[in-house]
Amino acid sequence: MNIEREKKIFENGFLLLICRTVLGFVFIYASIDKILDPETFAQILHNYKLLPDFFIYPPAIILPWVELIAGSFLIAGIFVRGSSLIINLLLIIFIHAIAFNLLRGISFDCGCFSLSAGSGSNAYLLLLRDLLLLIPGILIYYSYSRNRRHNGSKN
Amino acid sequence: MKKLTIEIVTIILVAVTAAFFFNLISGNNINIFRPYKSDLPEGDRYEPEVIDIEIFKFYLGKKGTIVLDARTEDDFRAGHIPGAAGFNTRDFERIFRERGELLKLGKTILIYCSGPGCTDSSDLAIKLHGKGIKEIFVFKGGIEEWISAGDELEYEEAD
Repeated sequence: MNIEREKKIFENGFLLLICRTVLGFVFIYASIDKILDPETFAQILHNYKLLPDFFIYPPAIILPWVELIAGSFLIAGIFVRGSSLIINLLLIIFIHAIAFNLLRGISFDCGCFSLSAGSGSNAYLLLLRDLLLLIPGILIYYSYSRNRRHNGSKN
Repeated sequence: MKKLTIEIVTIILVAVTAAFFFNLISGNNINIFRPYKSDLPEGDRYEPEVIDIEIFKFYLGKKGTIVLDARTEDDFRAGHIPGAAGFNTRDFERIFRERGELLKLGKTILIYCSGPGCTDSSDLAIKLHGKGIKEIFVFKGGIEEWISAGDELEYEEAD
């Protein structure tokens, strides 16, 4: 990619603002139901059959708050690299969990964006959605890391 | 790298603190150190019988068949299979208190939810079986398959 095109994408403040806002709101929205009804989210985590029973409640209670805080910080422009990295990691975990259960033939409610039984039942659409959300997530993380390096900041 | 680590640790610490605090002050007050316990009947090895859309339609027209929609009230109102009654599996105890005796009069109970990815129909079947109801079939294809087959939905208030 030539330098000018690289600058247009990775130094485009408006594009990055849109990406941060959209991704931030998506994760804030995703967290609300789960924060208000952790028991149902715990049941959904249990249905994934990936975690032992003694380790269902801690992520059921803490994970939605991680989504809310990371999403909020992303929109506010605070700790952008950290927030985007956490969000990208969460997306990767969700993608792996959905794909793994698809391969195992286990039916489940994703619980990604709503705890309603009628939502998100097509696992392939869920996979696609999470993969698409990774694009702005990676863009944000890479842009802010790149711009930080170019500005000569010290670690 | 150091700054990134500080950012990540800060976000997680803020989230953990908020989570514990909210868990205390909200009505939930969940003991996070206890193992998860499903509200499905203990030791129940019952596996509901799964049927396809042809068998589902066969039973649909028969006398004594009761069709239950295991989704939430909102989803039920947004469109359900004609003739189905709403039975939100997440509000099982309350609804069963109101309607359990009627269900026991049915010859065949058909249950569905949104589609193959939804576990609520199976969960409802297991809970009903635990209450002594026997002839239960789960239509796994659910609303998704019903719509794909070109069949129409009904729109009305949940029971």
